[in-house]
Amino acid sequence: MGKINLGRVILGGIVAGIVVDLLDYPIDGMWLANSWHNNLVALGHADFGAHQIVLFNLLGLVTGLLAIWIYAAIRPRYGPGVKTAICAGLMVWLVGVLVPNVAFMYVAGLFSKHLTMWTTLGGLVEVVVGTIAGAALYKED
Amino acid sequence: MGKINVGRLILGGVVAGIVGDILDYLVDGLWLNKMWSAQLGVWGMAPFSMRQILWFEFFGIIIGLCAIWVYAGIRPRFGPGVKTAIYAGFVVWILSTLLPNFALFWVPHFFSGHLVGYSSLGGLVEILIGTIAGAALYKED
Repeated sequence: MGKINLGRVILGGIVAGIVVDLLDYPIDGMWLANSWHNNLVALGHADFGAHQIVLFNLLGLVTGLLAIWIYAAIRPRYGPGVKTAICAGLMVWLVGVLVPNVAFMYVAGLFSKHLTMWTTLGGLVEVVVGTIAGAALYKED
Repeated sequence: MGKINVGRLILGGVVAGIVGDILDYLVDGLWLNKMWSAQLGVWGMAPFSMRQILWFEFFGIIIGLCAIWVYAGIRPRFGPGVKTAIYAGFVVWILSTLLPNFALFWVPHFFSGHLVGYSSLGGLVEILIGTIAGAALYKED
């Protein structure tokens, strides 16, 4: 079994992360902006600042890198292609978005069900599309 | 390439989740309990109820199942064994614990760096040991 092409994981991962961040802007930065504001005000908390938004985007890049590492690692099992990228993206979304959002935002009682649901569903689109885009750049030949 | 053994994945995943949950009880339920209660109080919230804790335990089982799916998925690439289980556990820990704790708790300043740091490091131990235990039960022959 060939080794993982680390250079291509980094290239694909950064692209995946950038796509995640770009898609996150219209979802959380525009569409859900009021909902985030209202939920933060209800907690007596200020809106997210520019510094925090930069950190969220850096976390998006790390998510993209991990998604493409998983894609590369499961490729011998499932073969290269979009189906495998979707599998990797769904796993990243389940583990990294769905479970933490439901647990930490909704069950912990910090944020509303409405905001938790929409930001989590938005995350599904972001992560799966980002992983497909990044995986298209991953090669081992 | 053989298919994933779904029966063993479920067995190993449930065991991984139970081990993670037991270790989480020691870390968050006992060691960090006072810290969690004090910091929830800052936001005017009561300590976590039994219902919330049961939800967290359920999510622990889901994380265990995902970790063993990642283990099974990357096994043809890295071979069976503890090293591969550590890879799977580590990537699942970053996605399910480190990034969400950082993004949802620390960046917005909801909880202290101390609590987030200790809880995240505890999560690393929980998920790594849980994944190694669950992976030991996963077989494809």
